[in-house]
Amino acid sequence: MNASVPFLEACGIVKHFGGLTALGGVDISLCRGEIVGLVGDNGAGKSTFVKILSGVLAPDAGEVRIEGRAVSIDSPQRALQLGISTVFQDLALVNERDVAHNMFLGQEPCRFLFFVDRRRMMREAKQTIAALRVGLPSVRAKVSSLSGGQRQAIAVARAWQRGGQITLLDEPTAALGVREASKVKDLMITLRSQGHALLLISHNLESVFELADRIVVLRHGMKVADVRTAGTSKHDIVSFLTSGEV
Amino acid sequence: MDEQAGQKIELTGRIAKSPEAETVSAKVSPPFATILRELLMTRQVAMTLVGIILFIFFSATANNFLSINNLLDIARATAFIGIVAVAWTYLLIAGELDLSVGSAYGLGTILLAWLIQRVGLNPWLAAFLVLFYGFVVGLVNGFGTVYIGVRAFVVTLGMLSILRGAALAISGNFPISYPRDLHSSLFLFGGGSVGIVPVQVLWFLACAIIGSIVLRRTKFGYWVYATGGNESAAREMGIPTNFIKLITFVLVGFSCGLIAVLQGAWLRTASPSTGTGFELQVIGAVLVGGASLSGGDGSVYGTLVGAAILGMVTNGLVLFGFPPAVSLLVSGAIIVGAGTMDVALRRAGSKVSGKRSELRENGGRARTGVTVSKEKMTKGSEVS
Repeated sequence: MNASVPFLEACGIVKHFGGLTALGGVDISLCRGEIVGLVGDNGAGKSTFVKILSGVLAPDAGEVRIEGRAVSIDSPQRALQLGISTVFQDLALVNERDVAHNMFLGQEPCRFLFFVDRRRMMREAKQTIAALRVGLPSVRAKVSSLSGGQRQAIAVARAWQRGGQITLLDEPTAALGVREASKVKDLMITLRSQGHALLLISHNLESVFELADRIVVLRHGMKVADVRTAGTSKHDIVSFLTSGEV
Repeated sequence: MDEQAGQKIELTGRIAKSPEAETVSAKVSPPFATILRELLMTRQVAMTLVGIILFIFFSATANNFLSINNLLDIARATAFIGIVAVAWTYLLIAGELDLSVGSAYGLGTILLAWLIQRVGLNPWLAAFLVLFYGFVVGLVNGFGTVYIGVRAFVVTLGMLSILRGAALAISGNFPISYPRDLHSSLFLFGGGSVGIVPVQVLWFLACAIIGSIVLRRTKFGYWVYATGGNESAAREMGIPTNFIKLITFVLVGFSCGLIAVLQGAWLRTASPSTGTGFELQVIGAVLVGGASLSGGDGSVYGTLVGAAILGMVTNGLVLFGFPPAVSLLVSGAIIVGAGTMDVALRRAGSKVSGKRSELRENGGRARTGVTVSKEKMTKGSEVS
């Protein structure tokens, strides 16, 4: 496991929405055992970048390489197959369904070809929740009956459970209480120590500085900084965010 | 006076906010979940109770209601509505709707009669062609809605008119009767009976049982719920939501083809006006059964109960000697009543679950034609 060779490389990613350029040629690389913080103002293109890596949006130009091989992430299923799991900003939960189904949303385990193995789903959901010490009343509870923090915890637990080597987290602690947020942070550190590559998007510079090994700053769809956290001050990042330079 | 009112608002605002802030990280106690589950159970249980009460009421007051023949009549009269309503339940749970089912059914019966009587096809071959026709109608509705992006309300309203027009054109606005001397084993599948049970009822039962199992137990059923519950979440998690919606449209179209064949094989005549107003009976059954107009919620069992309630009322009122107008009035009142009960139960439920329901995602609902969003109801109940 060599941390200096990029595990995932995104090169020259371009995405337009009509006349608007959301991403104008962005290069970001992730290494194994590394947490990269991605920061930027609203509309800087952070969420668009995550959606491209997770197969929800297709880039207009650019290439994604995993372990040096060019891959095409043309669907969310493909992203999961490639080992990219995502905690979306909107959490991607179905409120009318229970916790167990949401944990396995789109990847329900089956018996006899297409009958959902509900028991296995509930058992594994329970195990994951227990392992992460997420406070939930029951895996049978509907998501609509849960608090914002519990919902976020489910989204994070789901990404963890899918077991990808690359985890993208879009504002993973935004709605969490202090205790739950620190749990998510512990989880990220655990994943890092297991050699996963993590991309953390957050408005909260505190938590980015606390967790990230490297910080990438986006501004108006362009990368304006890619610096190691050690030796960089918050002041530098803030000036990158606001003016694009130190 | 104004100042007082202002203070009061500020005060209630503070009261409303403070518990929310506390519950964000707090654990929810198990009894709370139990209460909620019970409340949600009540919707199905309540409609079942209404059905049982109606059944007892008509049994006690209407002559002959409880006779086997009459009950089988109700079942037969409900069977076609029920078959399409089962498919329609899938479609509504996936977050879409189809207004063209009555016309699709009507044109199907005309096509079958036309193919057999005018073209002279073998009835079996004609039946397969009509089933295929139903499949194509569903495909067109689904393709227009899902891939072209016209709202289902618009596409299927247009299809309602187009298919009825085609039925009138093909038939020349006159009924088509099958040749009298024509015999085919096909007719046994539409008009016969097994013992005393009419085959239509058996078809209905088969569709309901299979429909219920598939919806509740299979991956496809889970994906239908996820698609209607939160379309963008389902897509982000890799569920092919467009394809799921297309399949549910096709199921509905196919079910219309199926009942067209069953009807033709039963009556051996086709009228261009068959199925007029049928879509409203189907939608009525689904809604009385408790499915949510905004998608993501509903069950085949509920739809069965809804169809049974409407079927019993229609039959019972005829037995009482009321004109058809009365049964239409009462059916309408039941649909509105069921809707009202649904809203009341949801409000009760959302009060329990607190204001957090405001956090719910709304992405998947954006394109649904008719939506009475639950969020609005929640907010409404908070204001009042």
